[in-house]
Amino acid sequence: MTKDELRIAIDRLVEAGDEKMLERFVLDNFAKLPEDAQKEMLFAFYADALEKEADSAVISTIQKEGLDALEKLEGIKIALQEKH
Amino acid sequence: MHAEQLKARKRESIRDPITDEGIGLGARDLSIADIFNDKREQDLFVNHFLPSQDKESARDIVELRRENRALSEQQEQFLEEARIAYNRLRAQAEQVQKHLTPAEIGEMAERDERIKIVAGAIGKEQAAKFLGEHVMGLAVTDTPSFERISGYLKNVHEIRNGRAAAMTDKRVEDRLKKYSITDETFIKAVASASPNEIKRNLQLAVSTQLTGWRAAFSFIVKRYRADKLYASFEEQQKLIEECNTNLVSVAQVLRGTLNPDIRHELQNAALEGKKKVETLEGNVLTVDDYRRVRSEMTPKAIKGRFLAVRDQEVARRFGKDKKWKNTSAAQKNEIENTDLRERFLDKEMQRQNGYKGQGLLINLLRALFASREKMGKMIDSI
Repeated sequence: MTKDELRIAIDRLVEAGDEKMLERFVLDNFAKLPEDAQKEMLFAFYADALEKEADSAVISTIQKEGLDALEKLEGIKIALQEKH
Repeated sequence: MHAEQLKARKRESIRDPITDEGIGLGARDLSIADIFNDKREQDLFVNHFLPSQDKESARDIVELRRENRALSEQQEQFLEEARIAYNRLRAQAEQVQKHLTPAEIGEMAERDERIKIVAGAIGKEQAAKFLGEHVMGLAVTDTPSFERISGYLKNVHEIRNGRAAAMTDKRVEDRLKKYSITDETFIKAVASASPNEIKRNLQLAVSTQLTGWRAAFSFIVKRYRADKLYASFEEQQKLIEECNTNLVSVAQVLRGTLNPDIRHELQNAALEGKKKVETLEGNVLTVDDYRRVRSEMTPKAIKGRFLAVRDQEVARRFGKDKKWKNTSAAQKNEIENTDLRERFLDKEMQRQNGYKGQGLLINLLRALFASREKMGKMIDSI
């Protein structure tokens, strides 16, 4: 598939206005795409997947922060109770 | 920059963008001759990196080299400084490239359906090679995207290497055993009628708790440290009560991290600021945007813009009523000997780089954009 053929096929799908169909088309025809288009699309998919994986670290950060807060709050509470 | 400063800069340690370990330049310490003798390096250095440092100086240097004329001392220094910065950037990109192995593609294919399909279509080895090549170019042509991908890789590297982090769920679970915490706040939040309300309430409960306990916790710690504030028995009691309230609040958020639905909302709440910025950015977000950009980037449109620019240059040089078609051969020759073509191509590349967005549409557009070389051929064919 040349860039021009790809452009025509994509333009047709864009006219249909369905992004999911576009993605399906790109994936189904991936091996036929021009090499630079393959690189560009693969990078986009990979960056997306990587971002999702990186975001999952958020929960672990909250948990670590929460466990640390629990520990400190309990420590303060004990210290205050011992002062009675 | 003086010679000593340049030497010092060369010695400065370079960090691996993913592992943060110090790296050396090694084979990446390319001389100017090495760069100019390699077509790909020359393209990246001359067409992208030098102009990103100083467009005017870059243009002057390219012109002088084309005419085999000597550079001034200042230009030599600029070139040397750029060479060092270029080698350092490329060395960092190489480190990122090293992480993009077939094994990495395999790992990602297990997590992401699209990567799985692509790896099936072209093979993991080819996919890793393509990604690596793309990232090497990206470091120079689109540094923000390179930094974005390096940042994600760094996070992912930390997550994967700190598999212990995955054990945090277990630690949270054990820790919460001593508290009789349920998902009460969150359960209340989802007790209302419509699905939209449920979602809104849940999001509100999550973000209130998440930000609330952080602020309260910091307040308690500060008060506790300021010894005199709880000197009286009443003050001590009050602070103990606050500790209890916040212990429950923190424990509730922690309990939420074990529930898949609440976990999802917590993640959204924590990433909310970032997502807001990302969604608002970009001028290629819809199918209509895609159509508009496509029409701006057809060969006909590009040629049209070049003709207009050329006529402007003719009018500027030879009078406002002059057009290209009614100029003499000598005048045409004069125009052709300017850097009009290169300036036009610079602007077109800037136009391409100015299209931003998220998702499939912008990526398809990027895949379809004509290269500088191809655009050059388009206008040469006029």
